[in-house]
Amino acid sequence: MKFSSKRRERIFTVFFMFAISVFCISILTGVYLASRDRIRVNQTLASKRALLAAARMPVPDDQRTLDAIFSNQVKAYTNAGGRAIYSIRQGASSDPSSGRRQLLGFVFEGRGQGLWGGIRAWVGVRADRKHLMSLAITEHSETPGLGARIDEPWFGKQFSGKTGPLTARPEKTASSLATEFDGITGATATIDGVRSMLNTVLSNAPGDIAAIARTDADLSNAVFLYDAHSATNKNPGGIPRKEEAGP
Amino acid sequence: MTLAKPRMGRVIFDGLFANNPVFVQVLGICSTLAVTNVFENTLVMCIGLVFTTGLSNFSVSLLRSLIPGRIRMIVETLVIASWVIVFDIIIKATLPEISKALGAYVGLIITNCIVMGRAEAFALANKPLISMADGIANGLGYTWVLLAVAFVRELLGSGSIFGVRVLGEWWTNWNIMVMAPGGFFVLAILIWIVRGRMLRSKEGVR
Amino acid sequence: MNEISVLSIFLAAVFTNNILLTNYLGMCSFLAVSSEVKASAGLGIAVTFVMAVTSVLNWLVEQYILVPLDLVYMRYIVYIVVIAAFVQLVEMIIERVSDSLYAALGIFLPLITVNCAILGATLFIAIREYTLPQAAAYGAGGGLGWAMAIVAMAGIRQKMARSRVPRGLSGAGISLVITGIMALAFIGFSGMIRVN
Repeated sequence: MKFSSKRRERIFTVFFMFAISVFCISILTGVYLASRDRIRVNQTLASKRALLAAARMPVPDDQRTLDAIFSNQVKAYTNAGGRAIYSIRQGASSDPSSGRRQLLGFVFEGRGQGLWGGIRAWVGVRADRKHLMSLAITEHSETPGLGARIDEPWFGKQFSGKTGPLTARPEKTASSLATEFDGITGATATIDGVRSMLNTVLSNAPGDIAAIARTDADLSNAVFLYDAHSATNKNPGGIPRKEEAGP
Repeated sequence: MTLAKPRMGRVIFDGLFANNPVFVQVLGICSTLAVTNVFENTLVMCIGLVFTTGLSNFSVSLLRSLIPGRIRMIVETLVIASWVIVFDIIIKATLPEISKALGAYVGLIITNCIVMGRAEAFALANKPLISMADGIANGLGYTWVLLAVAFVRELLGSGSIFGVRVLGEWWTNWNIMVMAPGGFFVLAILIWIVRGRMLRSKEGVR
Repeated sequence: MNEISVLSIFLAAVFTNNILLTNYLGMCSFLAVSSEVKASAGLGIAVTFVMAVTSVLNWLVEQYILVPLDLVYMRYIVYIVVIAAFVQLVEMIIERVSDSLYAALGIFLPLITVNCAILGATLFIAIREYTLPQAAAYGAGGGLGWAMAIVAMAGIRQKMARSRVPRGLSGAGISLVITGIMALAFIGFSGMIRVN
């Protein structure tokens, strides 16, 4: 009697453990599957919105406009290192006289190293392949309140018109030099990572664009037109810089 | 707590004040303190804790007569972990940015001593509904303490409350409040004030 | 993205990103046990060992089971089960193999399973997408850093036993203050490691 009741107890223990595990796992799987698509859509939307922000374009709220912009104006390429590059053109209805849609700029997938982990961002570079448009951080593991402040809107926007090689200045010193940007107090390692990521993107930009232009005649034309157009324009806009020799 | 059947009102009062997890039981100071440098993140974390403690107490209490003694802790852990995963999925779907900011700390609700502690101390011996109330009350007791810490840390460290800048340009941020030592000090001071009061009032009664 | 050297990660885990002093993890058992240096050292060794091994184990589980089968959402359950199982296994082995070791460390092992630091370390490794050597370095370093902090704390508390601590602060309060000051001191290590 004693023996079999102990055995029964053991069998029940095992059975119970199994049953409750199966129960919990099923519920979790259910919840996961119900929300998985929504989570993925959210992530893609967030990434697309950030990309447009990096290109200093207005970010639409609704998904339809967003998708329309992406299908009309944004084209994806990959550079030699496997990183994504997007070309941004103006919308179809603008500038009917030229017939070709003007090149607005490029967005590079940037990767850097922060204090705690990797930083990923969209880096917007002007069509001249030299000056930045904006920066939109998509992923980081930095300390909230310190390094995580790179998410703040002012931080990315301050890069408009800046060019490499970049150096960081103390926060709120607002230098007018095109190669300086404001850091964040208490987040030195994070800012260093961002700086080095941006400098890498900027130094590789001309080469990367030349490489992808070779694979796409339309892009190659657009780049050529842009260069020709800007050579005849004294100051295409942004921070004043030294005059350069023609193309 | 295990004398007569505990009454709902008493249970709630104890969880919030008399048997407060942080000041009296000294539990769960661990993980959540890390996110208290931003008020909004703390709020979401604490909601997660209240959610988890309440529901896991409820579940454990429902099963209390069935759970074999030997695997008691494993079953509790399994139940707690499941509820935490549910919460994690919910915030990933509805508040993706906060979920990213919280990072690994949501998962650490599982090892928060309060959740396991209440399951062991209360849920195993009481009915489901009142166990859930006890879980929620303890969770809320923990919440108000952490929100107080977070309020001070965000105000002094970033000059803002809930992301809205309230202190003007004249305020120099106390970076120490945003970094680790700030959390320890603020909580220590808060404990000092509250426990000091509690001890003095006990002596007054005597 | 992950070009940080293994040594940098190890040193960072011990000093600049100390899992207790910077990430606030592992404090519960810390506050309960840390009034005696010997006991704290024992707990510290046990935690270091478990953290180092479970970091590797959970990394393997993540890479070879969770990711291929799209079960990443089950991460929390799987990790804690692995940790609990491993601790149980270690306890059984120690009990069979060595009585003295069991007497010294055995009592701590159940405490370790619910130690936030161990689960925390494995979660950080997963989120930061470390490689296997980096994960091992972080696990070992994290454990050592935790052990260092707890032994230092125990030593300080032993001395504090002779001082007059305000009543409201005694116990948890003063421990938190001591931890805060230690955390401040450890921030001084920040410039030591250039991660970029």
